[in-house]
This record gives sequence, C-alpha cells and structure tokens, in this order.
Amino acid sequence: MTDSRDHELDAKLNASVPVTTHRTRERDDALRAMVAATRPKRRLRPRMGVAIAGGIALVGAGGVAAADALGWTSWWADDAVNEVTYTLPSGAVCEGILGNFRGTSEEVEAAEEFMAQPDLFDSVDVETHYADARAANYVATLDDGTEVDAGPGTPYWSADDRYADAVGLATSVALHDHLRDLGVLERLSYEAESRCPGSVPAELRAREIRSDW
Amino acid sequence: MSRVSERLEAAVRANSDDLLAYLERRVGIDDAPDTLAEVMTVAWRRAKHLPTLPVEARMWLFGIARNVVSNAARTRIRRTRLADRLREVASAASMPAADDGVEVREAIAALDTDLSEIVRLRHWEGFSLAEIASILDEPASTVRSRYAKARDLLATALADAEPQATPRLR
Repeated sequence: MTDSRDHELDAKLNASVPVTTHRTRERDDALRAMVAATRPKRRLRPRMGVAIAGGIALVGAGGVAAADALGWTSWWADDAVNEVTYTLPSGAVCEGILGNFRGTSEEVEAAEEFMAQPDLFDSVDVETHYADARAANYVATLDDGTEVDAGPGTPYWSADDRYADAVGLATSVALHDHLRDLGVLERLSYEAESRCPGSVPAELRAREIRSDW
Repeated sequence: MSRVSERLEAAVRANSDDLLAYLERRVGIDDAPDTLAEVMTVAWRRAKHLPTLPVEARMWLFGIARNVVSNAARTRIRRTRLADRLREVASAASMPAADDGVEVREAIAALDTDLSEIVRLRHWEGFSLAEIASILDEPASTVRSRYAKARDLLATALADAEPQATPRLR
C-alpha cells in the first residue's frame, strides 16, 4: 500500500467512529453516582463471640482444579460476587468464587455486599478456626473397621484440606455474624467453588473420618 | 477503604467517560449504561487483580469492558435502575448526526472478530497496538500482524466499494 493510500485508509477508518453522547455536568454526575453505587459497601461490625452453628464450607477445595483447569464449572460462575485467593500451609494458592446467594431479598442483598468486599478476608478469622481444627480430635475408620487417630501428624491428616475447610467455615461464620448484627439473617444459603492446584492431600485415605471440630 | 479499593475507585472514575464512549460505540447509546454498570460490577469483583500502574489499570478496565461486550452478545445485559439516570441524561446529551461512515463500519464488521476489534480499538478508541495487545491479552506481534492483515482486507474492500470513474466521452 502506498503512503497516500495508507493515509486515505487511516482517514476513513478514523472517520468511521460511531456517534456517542457528549459530556455534560448531568452526565458526569450520573457517572459518578454509578461508580459509587456499584462499589461494594463495607459495613464494619463489632467483633462478637463466635458461635459456630454449622457453616457452609467451601465445596470442592483441592479437587476442583483437576476437574476443570480452564474455567469454573458452577452455573452461577459468571455472576459470582467475588473471587478470593488464599494460601494453604503447603504454600499452594487457592482461588475461589462465591455466588448463588439465596434467601430473602434483604439478606441476599446484605450477604452479597459483605462477600463482595475486595478485602473480604480482613473480616474473616481463618487462623482461629484453623487452630480449632488442629486442636480437635479425629478418628479414622479403616476398611477393616479398625479405628485409628487421624489428627495432625498422622498419614490421614492433610493440613491443606483442613485449612481450606477453615477458610470456608470462617467465611461463613463471619457472614452469618454480619447478617445477625443487621437483623436480617433468616435462611441464607450460598455456594462456593475453589481450586487449589498443588495442594497436598493426606497420604492415606480412610473409609470415614469423624471429628469433634 | 483499603488501598486496592481506593486505587480501583480512582481508576474507574478516571476512565468511566472513555469506557462509556467505548460501550456506546459497541452496544449502542441505549444499552451502554447497563453495560457500563456491569463492567464496574465485574471490576469490583475482580479488584484484587487490579494492576498497580494507572495506565495498566486503564487497559485492565478496557479488557473487562471488552469481555462484558462479548458476553453481552450471548446473554442480554440486564436493565438495572443503576443505569436509568445515566441513560436519561446521556440520551439527552446525544447528537445523532449525519453519518457518512456506514460503509466503512460495515467493512470493519465484515472482518473476522479478532481483526475487527483491533481496528476499532486502534481507530475508534485511539489505543496503540501495544496497548491493544494488553487489552486483548495477546502477544504484540500477533496484534501487529492481525492489524496489517485487517488493513489490507479493508483497503481492498473499500476500493471495491468505491464507484468506478466513468470515462468521459467527448
């Protein structure tokens, strides 16, 4: 292509830009309002005594990555309210998504807002829950019915798996505390999907592991 | 507000005008406000991935906008009240003018998607090819060669479309 034809083509392409709206004070105001409205609002709450009432654990911790290395498999993944990252004791990094919140409109709105915080884990006390997990008693039932200790230091223990469980539980507890503080907690449920490539599983598997955690 | 929140809010504020223009060109003036609300929501959801440098944050936001537009082609963006005010004032501020670029836009639209988007980002949004590579998350060399191919195709298509000069009879 010659220089003149190049310039001619450039001019045509530049001139083909579709019309857009132009800036006005009202439009600037509306844009600023939209920025503010879409930003997740963080509501600080007083720290309360933690009452663990059965949280909703992150599902699939450690296993989902192998199932699908290219994308999230949950049907709600495109509408997830947040993506989170956390590091396991082995150094493996987990990524998770949170979504499919169900319940009353009030509690869903409050829950999504809480869970959408970019710094969500500042509000979540994972270490206390992991310490609780380590201090609990674990009994593994083997295939022949024998029962053996499955706590830390045994081949049935995976620090990574328990830490991932602690993340899920701590997140759920923090969320439920928050909704309780707001007086909107009724019947909330939500889902999470996570992947933890490189996480270290237990050396041995048992038929069943019970714990008082 | 955390540092990442502060940085993201600053980036969104600084680029919201350009993002709105980009979306108006891609999905139309009426649907752009809802699409922009979706872009902002996704940006907050992915805040932890926000690059530190403002110029990279700008490319990151346009990358999100591009993905939202791509997804919008498959699933219609929901109308939200968030966007109503912007739609109202933006529509009032629009100036649909006599438009002689239809033929060129049709030629761009006839290109493969991976070519047409590069042309639009270059000539409608004014990004450099290096910036486009960042937005598309493609190697710069790939973007350069696709752009060159797109230009060749467009030059041919637009030359073919031009009316041939009629020999003057004397």
